[in-house]
Amino acid sequence: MSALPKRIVKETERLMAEPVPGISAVPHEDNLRYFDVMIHGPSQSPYESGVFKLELFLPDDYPMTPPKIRFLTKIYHPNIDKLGRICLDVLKSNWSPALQIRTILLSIQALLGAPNPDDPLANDVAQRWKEDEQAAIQTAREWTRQYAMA
Amino acid sequence: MGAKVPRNFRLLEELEKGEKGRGAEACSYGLSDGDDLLMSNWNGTILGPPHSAHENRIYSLNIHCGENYPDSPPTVQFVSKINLPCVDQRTGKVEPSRLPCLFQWKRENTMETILIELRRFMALPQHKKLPQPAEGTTFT
Amino acid sequence: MDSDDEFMSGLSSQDEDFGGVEESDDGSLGDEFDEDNPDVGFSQDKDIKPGKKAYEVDFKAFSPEDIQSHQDKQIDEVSAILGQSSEATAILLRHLRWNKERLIEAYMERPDSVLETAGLGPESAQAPTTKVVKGFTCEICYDDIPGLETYALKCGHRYCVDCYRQYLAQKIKDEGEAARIQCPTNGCHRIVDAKSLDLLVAAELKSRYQVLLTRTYVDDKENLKWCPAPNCEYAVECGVKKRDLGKIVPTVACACKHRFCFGCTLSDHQPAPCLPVKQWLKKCEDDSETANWISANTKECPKCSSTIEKNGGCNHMTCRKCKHEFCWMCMGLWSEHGTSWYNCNRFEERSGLDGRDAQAKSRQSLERYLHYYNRYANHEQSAKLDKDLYNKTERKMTGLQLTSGMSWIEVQFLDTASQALQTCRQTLKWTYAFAYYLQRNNMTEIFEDNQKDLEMAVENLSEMFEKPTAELAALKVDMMDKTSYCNKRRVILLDYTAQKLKTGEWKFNVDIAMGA
Repeated sequence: MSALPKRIVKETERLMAEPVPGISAVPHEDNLRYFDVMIHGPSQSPYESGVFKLELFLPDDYPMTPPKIRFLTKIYHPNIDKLGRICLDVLKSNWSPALQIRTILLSIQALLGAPNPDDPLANDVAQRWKEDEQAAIQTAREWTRQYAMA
Repeated sequence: MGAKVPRNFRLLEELEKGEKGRGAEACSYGLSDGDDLLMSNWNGTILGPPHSAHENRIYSLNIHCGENYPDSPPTVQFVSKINLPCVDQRTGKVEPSRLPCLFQWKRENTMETILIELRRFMALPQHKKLPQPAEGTTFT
Repeated sequence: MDSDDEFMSGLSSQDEDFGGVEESDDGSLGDEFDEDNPDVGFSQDKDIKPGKKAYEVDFKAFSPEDIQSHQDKQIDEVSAILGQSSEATAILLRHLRWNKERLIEAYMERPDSVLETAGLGPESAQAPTTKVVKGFTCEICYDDIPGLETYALKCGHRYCVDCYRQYLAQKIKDEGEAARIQCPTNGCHRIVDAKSLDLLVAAELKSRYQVLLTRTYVDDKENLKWCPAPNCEYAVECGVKKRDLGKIVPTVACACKHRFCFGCTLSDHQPAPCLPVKQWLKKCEDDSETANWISANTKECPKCSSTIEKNGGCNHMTCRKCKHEFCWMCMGLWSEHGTSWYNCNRFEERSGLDGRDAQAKSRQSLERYLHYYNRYANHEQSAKLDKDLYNKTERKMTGLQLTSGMSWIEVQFLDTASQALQTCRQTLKWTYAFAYYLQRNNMTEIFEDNQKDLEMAVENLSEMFEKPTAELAALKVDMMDKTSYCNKRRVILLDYTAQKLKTGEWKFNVDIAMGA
C-alpha cells in the first residue's frame, strides 16, 4: 500500500494523544484508513449510557471528500437508517476539507443529542418522532438498553 | 495504489449502485434482509439472454458475502432451476472452480460482475441450447 | 429573390397568396413599402406585414458567446452603479440570481449586509497573489515545509496552493459547482471569485468553470432556456412566464431550427397546452399497448365485467368467471336467442340493450381515449414516413434538376413542401391530445372543422410525394398551392385555438394551469 498522507498520520496521532471525551477512534492495524469508533450517547438524551460502535473509512481523496461512516450498533434515530447510514449535512454537501475525523465524530454525537425528524433518512422513525415524540423517545431508550449496553 | 475499501463500505457501495439501478439492465441484486447490519445475504436476478433456451426467463439467485468479502468471493446459488455446467444440479450452487470470475477472483470483482458473467455463460454457443427444466421450478 | 427566400421559410409566409413565388416581387415589395413608411395609413390589409398571431410569441436565440457578453454587459453596468469590482459584482449578481433591480435596491439600502450574505466581506482592491508564510502549516494536508506557496481569500483562511487547487478541482469537476464555491474552511461562506480561481486552477478547469458559470446564468433566468436539441449550445429567450402556460403555448425556434415549447422544453406541441400534454404523454405510456390489444380483441362480460377474449367463431359466450351466457354480437342474454347461433339479428332487444349499455359505460372512456390516441399515433407515424420521404426529397430534387433542367433554386419547392408536411403533422398530432381533454361545446365543432380541413390539406399534399420524379416538374405549381394551403390551414387552426385559450373560453376536463 502507498504511504499514508501526512494529514491522516497527524490526525491519527492527535486522536490517540488527545482523545475526545466520550469518543474513541482506533485504526485497524492492517488498514490505517479504517477506524473502529465508539461514541457514548450524550447525557439527557435517550441514548444516554449507551456505547455505540461505528466504523469509519477515509477514502482515497480524503480530505477533499468526506470520510465514510456508519453505525454498527442498532439505533433508533430519525437520521440513521436500518443499515446504520447517517444523514448529516457535514458528511455530504457541507463537508469542508478543513473538517477532521474528530469534528465529524463530535457532530455525530451532537446529532444523537438533537435528532432532526424534518430531514429524515429513516422515514418510519421520523414519522413516529413527529406524531408521538414521547413514544419514539421511549423506543430509542429501549433500543439503547437492548443493543448499546454491554 | 489507493486505499483498500473495507468489506462493509464496499457492500454499501454495491447496494447503492444496485438501488439506483445504475447497473447492467439484465441483472439486478439487493439485500435479502434490509435490517441486516452485516449485509451478508443478497438476492440476485438474471434475465435470460436472448436467442437462447433462457430467453424471457427470470432466474433468481442467493448470494452470500462472508466476512472476508471482497478478498474472497461470495458463494452463489441458483434458486430457480437451471441446467448449466457450472451449477450443481442437486443444490443449485455455482461451482467456483467452473466459473472463471470466481475461480480467478479479484478484489475489484463485484456481485454484478458475477451475475453478468453467469449470463454470458448461459449465452455461450455450447450452453445456449441446453435443455432447460420447466420454467418456475426451484432447487430445494 | 426576396420572395423566394420568404417562400422557402414557409412558416412565416402563411399569408401569401397562392403561387406567390411566381410573382416574384409582389409580396415583398408591399412589405418594404410599409416598413419604410410606418405612418402611412393607406396600406391595404393583405399587404401589411402580418401582425403577431395569437399563437406566436416573441423569442430570440443566443449563442454561447452572446450569453457570455450579456453577462459581461450586465456585470459592467451594475458594477458601475455599485462601485464594486466586476468580480464582486459578478458574485453579487449570481447570488441574487441575476435580479439586477433587487440587487441594486438591496445594496443601496444596506451594502454591508448584502456583501456579507453574498460571501464578500469588506472589499480591498488588490489583485490576488499566492504567498509564502513563515512557519506555516496547511490545515488540510498538514504540510509545513519551508517555502510552501499558500493562498487565502479575503477572509484570511490560508491553505497551501496544492490543497486549494485540489479543492477547486473537486468542486468544479466532480460536483459541477461554479458560482457558489465557498472558502474551504468549515462554516466560512466567502465565495471563491473568478480572479482567485484564475490564479489557482489549470487551464482546462478554467474553461469548464466558464461553462458552468454560463450555465448558471441561463438556469437562473426565468426568461432563458437551453435549447434541448442534442449538442445544441444555444439558449432561447422568451418572456412567457410559468403562470401563463394555461393561456398560451409558447413555441420557440432555436437557431439550430429545433422548434420546442419554452414552457416545458418538449418538442412543439401547439395547440395543446403544457399540462394536458404532460398528462397525455403519461397516459399513453401507461395505457397504449394494453388498451390497444384489449379494445381490438376483447369485450367485457355484461354481468361481471371481466374481460373476455373471443377466440372462436360462435357467438354463444359463457363467461368463465360468472358463467353468464350471452351473445357476443349484441351482448344480450343467450336464453332469449333461440337458435340463430351464428346470426344475431336482435340488436334492439331489451336485454341486449342493457348489456350494451353497461358495456358502453365501462368502455366509454377507453373507446374515447383510443379514438384520439389512434389519430394521434397515426400522425406521429405518418410524420416519420414523411420524414423518410423528406430524406428522399433531396435525391428527387437532384433528379428533377437533371430531368427537367430546372435550377437548384427552382426545385426548392419540394423541400418547402416536406417541411410544411412535418410541421402540420406535428400540429395535427397534438390537436388530438388537445381534443381529448376538451369539453364539448359549440367551439369544439369549429375546432373539429379546422382540424378536418388541415387534415385533408395535409393528406392531399402528402399524396403528391408518391408521384414519380418525372411528373413532379409538371406538378410544381399545384404542389406549391397545396403547400401554401396547408400552412394557411395550420395558421387558421392555431390562431383560433390560441385566441380562445387566451380568453379562457375552452373548457377542459383537466386542470391546465401550471402549479395549481
